[in-house]
Amino acid sequence: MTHEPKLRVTGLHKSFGPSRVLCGVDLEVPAGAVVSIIGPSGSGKSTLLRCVNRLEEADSGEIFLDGACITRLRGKSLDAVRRRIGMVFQQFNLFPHRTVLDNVTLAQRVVSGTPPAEAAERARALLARVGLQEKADEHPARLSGGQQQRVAIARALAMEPEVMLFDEVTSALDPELVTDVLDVMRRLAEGGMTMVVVTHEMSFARDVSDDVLFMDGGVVVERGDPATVFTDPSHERTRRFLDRVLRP
Amino acid sequence: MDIFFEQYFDLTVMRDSFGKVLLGFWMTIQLSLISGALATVWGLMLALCRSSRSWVLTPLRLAAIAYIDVFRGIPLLLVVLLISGSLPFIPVLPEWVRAPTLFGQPDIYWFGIAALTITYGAYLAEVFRAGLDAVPAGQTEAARSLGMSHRRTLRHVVLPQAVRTVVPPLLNDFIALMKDTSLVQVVGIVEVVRAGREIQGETFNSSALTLGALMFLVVTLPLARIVDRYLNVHQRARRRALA
Ligand SMILES: Nc1ncnc2c1ncn2[C@@H]1O[C@H](COP(=O)(O)OP(=O)(O)OP(=O)(O)O)[C@@H](O)[C@H]1O
Ligand SMILES: [Mg+2]
Repeated sequence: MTHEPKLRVTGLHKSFGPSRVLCGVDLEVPAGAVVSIIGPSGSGKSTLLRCVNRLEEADSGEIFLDGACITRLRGKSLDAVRRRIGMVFQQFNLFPHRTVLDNVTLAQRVVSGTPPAEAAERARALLARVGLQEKADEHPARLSGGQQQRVAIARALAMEPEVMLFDEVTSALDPELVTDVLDVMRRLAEGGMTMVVVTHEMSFARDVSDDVLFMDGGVVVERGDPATVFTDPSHERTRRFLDRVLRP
Repeated sequence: MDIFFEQYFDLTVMRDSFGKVLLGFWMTIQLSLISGALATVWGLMLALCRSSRSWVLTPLRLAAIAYIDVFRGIPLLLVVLLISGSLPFIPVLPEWVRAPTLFGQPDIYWFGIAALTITYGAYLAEVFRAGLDAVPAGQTEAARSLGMSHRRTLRHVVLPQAVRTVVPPLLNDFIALMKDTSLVQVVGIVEVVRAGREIQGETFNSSALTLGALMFLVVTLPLARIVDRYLNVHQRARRRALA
């Protein structure tokens, strides 16, 4: 018997003008699994994530969440589906005019209509989970990049998503701030969150993922369990990429 | 030298005309505040139409672009004349458009306000558009990815940030609008410049106009300082955020 995966993407194509960025991408993420996507710059990793929560419209192909097709949803039903998919961006994108606490509570209050006190209580619990409870009343500009990114994770978690998408969330951080963010993500994975992680952190991809996808030129070149992909890739392109990024 | 000084700063003339000039200035203030408020709302609506991305709203977007281009490109004085010199003579228009008398004010008062609103709505639309464009796309994407609708994203995330960048140019345009109220005197509204001119015509002395200028400065100078302060504070805040 086959279980329907939490998230399934089939035959995704996407072009920007003449440049073909995704050329038939398939992706399956079982519930509770962590899938890492690696690959060179410009290979379409971000575009794939952005298509999944419909920030970008695919030209063709389908996206299924829990077996339900979400490719052509619009309006309220699209908003509802986006609530079930959390996204964390490379540039954090915190709301600079709001305090940390407000960042985490805003969507709950205006979208779900959660009473402010209840939203704040949940937000404080989430901030504690990412180790930032004492920063609740600060504005984002006063936080380090790593702290901002952890707030962004808490903000996404506040909507109680079923899937979390991470797009190179540590790439804009100073090296010493990366660990805290990765720790939060690791704990999230251990807690059973379904995650798709685009990353340049090869050790994270190797240690935490159930599956690794290597993308290049808009296609998934290779996929498999991390042990195999990292130590014995079957494609020359994967090997060359790993050689380049893993060599110190 | 004395003659020169007296032509502009005759204290007796100033004292005698003070009441009349002040009354004119009160009209200037009214015109500025009412058309300023209306143009702000109208300009924001135009800017939102112009910034809409959805293809359903394409006709609205094109209309907004055309409107903004046209009214930024023709003189306010022309708009004033096109309204006040035409509307009363188009019998198919309803009475309240041909000869509006809202709140007991004469039609020329409302024609003046309409002209200022129409023209400054176009200017302010550009100010608002720049403000909306200055909010990074990532802000909208973050909000939408949390499941916030387009409308809520605008209201809670984009507009509050746009307003901050928009305050200084908005105040600058408000200063400009206030000065341009003097143009609507051609339809017979006695605002501060018209009042001063009438006294100039009677006395062959310009001190009443000087007095009007001083009244303008009482309002516009503090506004200009506020703009400066605002810009400084924000530049410092931004530099701190980037540091
Ligand atoms: N909005 C857009 N308009 C035009 N081209 C785009 C747009 N977004 C992405 N692209 C192009 O699509 C290609 C893939 O971009 P994408 O951001 O998905 O790559 P990536 O794998 O995430 O790369 P990186 O590791 O640098 O983030 C790039 O060549 C990029 O220039
Ligand atoms: Mg990317």
